[in-house]
Amino acid sequence: MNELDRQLQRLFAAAKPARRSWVEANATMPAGFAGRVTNRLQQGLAADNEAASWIRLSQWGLGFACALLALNLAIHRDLFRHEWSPAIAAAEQVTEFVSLP
Amino acid sequence: MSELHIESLFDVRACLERVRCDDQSAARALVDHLYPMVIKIVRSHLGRRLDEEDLAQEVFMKVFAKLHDYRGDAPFEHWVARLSRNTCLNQLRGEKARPEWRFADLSEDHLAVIEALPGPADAAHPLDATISNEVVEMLMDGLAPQDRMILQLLELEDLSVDEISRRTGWSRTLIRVRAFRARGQVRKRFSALHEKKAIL
Repeated sequence: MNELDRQLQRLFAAAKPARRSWVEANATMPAGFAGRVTNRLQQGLAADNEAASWIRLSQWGLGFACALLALNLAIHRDLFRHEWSPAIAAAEQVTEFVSLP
Repeated sequence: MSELHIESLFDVRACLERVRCDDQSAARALVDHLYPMVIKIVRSHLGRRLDEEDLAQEVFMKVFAKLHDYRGDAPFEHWVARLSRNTCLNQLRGEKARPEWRFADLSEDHLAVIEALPGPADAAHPLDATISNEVVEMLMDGLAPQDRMILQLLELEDLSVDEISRRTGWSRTLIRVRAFRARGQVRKRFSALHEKKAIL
């Protein structure tokens, strides 16, 4: 071990007690720390609840749209009838237009 | 495991039950109970930081967010300790190296310690622990955060490579490589410090 390494080793050895006492000591909780944590927790829960409400709402909306579609199918039965499905009629017109010579 | 010395009178299981029922006072009691352990882990892994409380808060947020994952097959304090270490390691990954110190940053006390280093290393010539620690901190500034942490755990807290590997999940080879690199950089800075001191 050269002189520089020996000095470094001595420096680290001398620093150990201060380091240890700093890690170990003063572990008392700052005032209001627990309150800040629980407040953040509550805010997080509120945000989660809001997100959950939106998810529920969109699920209800999707369910309602599906039910409406099913009801329509039950009434009209023929899914591909032009009168019932204007989108298919439009697609056919576009196809005809595109396939013109 | 010294960091897990927790007062055993506290009924963690009952407290957890109440926390799961959204009892705010139980959550605060749990934070009270765990804070000394968590802050020690934070300090031990991240060194001197001004925002250690912020990081401790992050740890507690994770504890509460993942509480449903705790199945009770290990002591709760061990589970929290592991979570704390992982949070520290994640923080280290995103952290940049601190700026390197300049010679002008050294005070007269720091220089006195450095000048005393070549002298006899015996009880009659002790070095000031606090000032020595400050010099060590300065020498380690500029190291990659993960290298810095390994050097701290190895050289200042006397942990073995196996223990660090167990705590961090890193391989022993990786730890040795990082430690070797960090020691080399510290040695280089220490040498530069001596050169500057000789010039002045």
